[in-house]
Amino acid sequence: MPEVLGAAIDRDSEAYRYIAAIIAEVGRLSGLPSRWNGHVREELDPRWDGSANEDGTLGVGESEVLARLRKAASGATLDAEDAALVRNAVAVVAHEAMHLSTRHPDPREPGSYPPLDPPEVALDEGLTELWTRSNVDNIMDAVGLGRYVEQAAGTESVDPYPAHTAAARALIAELYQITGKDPQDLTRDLLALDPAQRWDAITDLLSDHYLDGVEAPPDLEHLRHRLAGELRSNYARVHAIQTSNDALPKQTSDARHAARLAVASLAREVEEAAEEQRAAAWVGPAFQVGRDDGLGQLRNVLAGQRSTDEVAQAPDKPPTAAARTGAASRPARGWVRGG
Amino acid sequence: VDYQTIDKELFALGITLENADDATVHAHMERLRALAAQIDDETDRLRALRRIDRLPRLARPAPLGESPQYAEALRIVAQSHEFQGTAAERLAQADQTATRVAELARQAPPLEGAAIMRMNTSLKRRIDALRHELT
Repeated sequence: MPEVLGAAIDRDSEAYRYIAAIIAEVGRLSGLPSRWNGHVREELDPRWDGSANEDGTLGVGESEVLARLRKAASGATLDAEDAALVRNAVAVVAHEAMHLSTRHPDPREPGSYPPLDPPEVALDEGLTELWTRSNVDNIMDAVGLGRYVEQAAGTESVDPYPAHTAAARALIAELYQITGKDPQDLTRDLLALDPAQRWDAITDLLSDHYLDGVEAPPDLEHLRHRLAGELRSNYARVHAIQTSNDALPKQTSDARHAARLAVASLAREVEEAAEEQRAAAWVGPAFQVGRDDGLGQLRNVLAGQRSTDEVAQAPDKPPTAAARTGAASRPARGWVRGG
Repeated sequence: VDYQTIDKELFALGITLENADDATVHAHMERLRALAAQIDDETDRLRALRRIDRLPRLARPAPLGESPQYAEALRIVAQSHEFQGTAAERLAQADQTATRVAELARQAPPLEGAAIMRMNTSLKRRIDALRHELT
């Protein structure tokens, strides 16, 4: 048990019952299993108001969580600010409960990256807070704190991760526009993964979309590794933005843009790989690049013709499958706008 | 139509309606209310309607803090995650930053202070991981 945690919160207390109910509701709403071990302990260090611990214990702070929940349990009518602080306490517990629903990072797994570096923090905190903010009022209703949602009306909780939340929202919106997959499912499925594995998962999602019906490229594993690495490195910009002295609205706008660009760049590369595979299949196996079949000149002519056609259609971006197959046959893709 | 249908739609709108005008948000609310009216179970129907009423809040990003403490806390937490050095140096730096962030939280207006305290939980994860690495 981590020594930074103090006494166990009495299981018969109102605060424990609220916390257990919030964790249960997070599990019900997300559909994700939780690593929570049933223990809630007080944070000894006043610098922390909540923590999801490796052994599955939830830590909570006295001032911002326990005291707020006790006040709520009294049933008192609160002013808007105090009601909003009850919501903040619920958000603290829900956010940490979501971290307990996420697979604990295992850097020893194949394909993993160093844990908790800036891009990973940006994506993990962003997705977790996006989910929490979307669900906190539902959770309050479910655990019997719904009256404070109304009492807090007009008084908003402030975002603790504004650039990360804005970027996560943009990321999910872009993935939704490209793949048509349900945003709630996308968010939950990414949250369910070990944070270090999410880059591969996003790469796979777009690969499945663009390579649907196309024979997989021969170097798929290498391609996937390279693209997931690039996505991760592009997403690092979301975090770096917040180290600047720029005004906060500019930071969140820049973070949103950086997330869109990261997805757009990935989408473009996957689509190009799909395009190459389609071209290879169309020309036929005997014409595939790299084979010394004596027909290189014809192949180059065909490739050049294709390239010329596409440049005429889309002079500002590389050849795309949409350009070849007719963009009008598909809904507008978010990545085109973002790129 | 069930509660899940409305719930999924609301989540999607919360993601995609960014910067939409009031008329667009309200048009979606009307459409969803008509859908929710078809939910057989009364409890679920009322729950869905109450949730639809909250779409304007979901469609807006959470507000930014306005205090200098909020802006400083965001910056130094981000800088701490970017800090390069040995594990021991990173641990010491993150620990100092967390102390400063808690001070800023105490100095800020209550709602912003609560948000600033929440920023520290990402540093706590970093500190725990570094302690783990050093043992």
